[in-house]
Amino acid sequence: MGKYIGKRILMMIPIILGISFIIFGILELTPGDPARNILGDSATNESVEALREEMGLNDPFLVKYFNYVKNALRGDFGTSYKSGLPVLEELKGRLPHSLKLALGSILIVTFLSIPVGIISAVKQYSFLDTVSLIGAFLLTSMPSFWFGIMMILFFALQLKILPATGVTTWKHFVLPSIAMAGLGIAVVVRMTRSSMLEVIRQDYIRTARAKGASESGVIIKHGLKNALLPIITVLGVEFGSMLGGGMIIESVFAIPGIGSMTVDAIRTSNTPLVIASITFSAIAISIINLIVDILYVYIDPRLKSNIKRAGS
Amino acid sequence: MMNVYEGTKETGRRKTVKRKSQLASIWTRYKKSQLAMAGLFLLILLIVIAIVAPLLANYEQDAIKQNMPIRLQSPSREHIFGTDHYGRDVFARIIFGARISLSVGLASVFISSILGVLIGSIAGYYGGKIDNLLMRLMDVLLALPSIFLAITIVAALGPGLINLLIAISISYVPRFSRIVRSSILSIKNQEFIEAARSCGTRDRRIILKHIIPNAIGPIIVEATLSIARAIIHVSSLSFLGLGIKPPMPEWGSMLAEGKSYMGSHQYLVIIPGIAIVMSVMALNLIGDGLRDALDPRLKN
Repeated sequence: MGKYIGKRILMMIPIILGISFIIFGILELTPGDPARNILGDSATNESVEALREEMGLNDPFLVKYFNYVKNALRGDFGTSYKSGLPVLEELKGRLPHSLKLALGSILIVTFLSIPVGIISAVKQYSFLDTVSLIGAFLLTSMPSFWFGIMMILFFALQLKILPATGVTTWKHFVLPSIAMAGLGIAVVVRMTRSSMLEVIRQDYIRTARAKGASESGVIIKHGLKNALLPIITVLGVEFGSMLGGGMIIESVFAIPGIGSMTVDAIRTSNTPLVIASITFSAIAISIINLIVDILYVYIDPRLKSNIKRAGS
Repeated sequence: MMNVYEGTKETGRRKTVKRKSQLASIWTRYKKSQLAMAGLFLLILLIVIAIVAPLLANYEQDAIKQNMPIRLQSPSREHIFGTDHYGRDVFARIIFGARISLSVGLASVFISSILGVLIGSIAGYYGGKIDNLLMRLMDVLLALPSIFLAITIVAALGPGLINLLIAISISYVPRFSRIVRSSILSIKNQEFIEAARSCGTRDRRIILKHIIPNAIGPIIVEATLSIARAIIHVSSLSFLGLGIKPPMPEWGSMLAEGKSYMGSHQYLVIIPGIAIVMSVMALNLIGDGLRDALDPRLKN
């Protein structure tokens, strides 16, 4: 098992390097001169040129990238052009808000979608099933930012029961978490339903019923446990995109997280911040994929022997 | 099996008969789903509105030009969707917005599907090192949600219609190439491909004439669903101010502008959202319907 995890961590390295290389390469095309932006229009050409040299902007692309990775490994992701603070500091200050938001959303997705999906599957073609499928369909057709705006309109402005913007109390995270969860709810409900539908038709479910096991025991112990793998997979994918994908929701609800910082950084061509925050998202997604892969083995012990066989 | 002796008159005729009947049977299966038909009608309606938009309103006068005396008027007989904070007619902006959303969605998916088919078929058909290289590149890109890639490209190129088109097109390529590659892998070892090859048919012809027509089903389904996704992504990026620039009437940027007035003028944020949801829903319904019609086995 340890060997397997080690191997998977090693496999993350080329992916993260690849992503950072591509992002670095794309952002190399950003127009404008960062040195000029920092010093302002009144600076002389000589001082701009000196700063360019100091920042390493005149180096060839590959040298720049190599230096970037070298520094990043030491925890130095450059400095924000705007605030002059180290990028890592900026990210750290914003991370808690984004984490709270993503955690809130994934909890909502998990504890709402899995039960709804199970009921949908067990009572296929019932009224509840139809309602949940229509709901899932509506959620997939709705941009998350509009979902968020509609909730602000209804819960914050009309009913005045929840705040629309800010981060001071847990209440502030309710609406944004639901808005962010929207698409995930739809995806996980559908996946739970189809995965459960497949499982409850199996012979061992009939056997369990024949033995006289209680209905809920059959569904949870024998059904859900076997249907869990694809569900965990989509939960992982959703959590990954939530962790990095706060750009839109954080902007709607004015949450000072990494997402809204990225949007600001893009607007102001603050390239070091953009590269770092997108790379951060890629790392977060890779780590979640790794956790999902490890969870597989705990959920389905059959996979363990496969890994042992492949590893040795 | 088919197309081996192509060129002779008789087989040529047989081929058209066969193709027609296949399309007809897909259509018959598609028609059965009421939801899929509803999606199709909705999409046709939206396309018609987008086409006849200049007959319903004047672009410069109603959708672009500021008319402060009539700003923020609630829906009325003269302005059925009301006016925005610059006194522009919201109805006019919505119908011209349909042109932008639908055309950017279609164009970007057209570009990305062609690139995806190209990359996917080369990788799938030749295999080996080329396959490995291309697919590792696609894997890396797939590790990021497509909206991130699009945002990165917009960050580099700056906002605007063309840049948005480029960004969305490129960000959808990896998915297409994955799908194309896997369907090609399942087709390329079948007998009719071997037959074509043994007749001395060139690789390019085998890919274009024999493999892609047989792999087209999943590509069409993915393309339909991708247009829906593209409409959401275009509006999201424009909402963030990274997409289509004002004063162009784009639904996402209309929402961003309307948000400041949502406390007193709810219609400014409700109407553009409904326009987005309707077009995305239409395409999703069509995509699901096509999936069932193209491959009846998948339906449960």
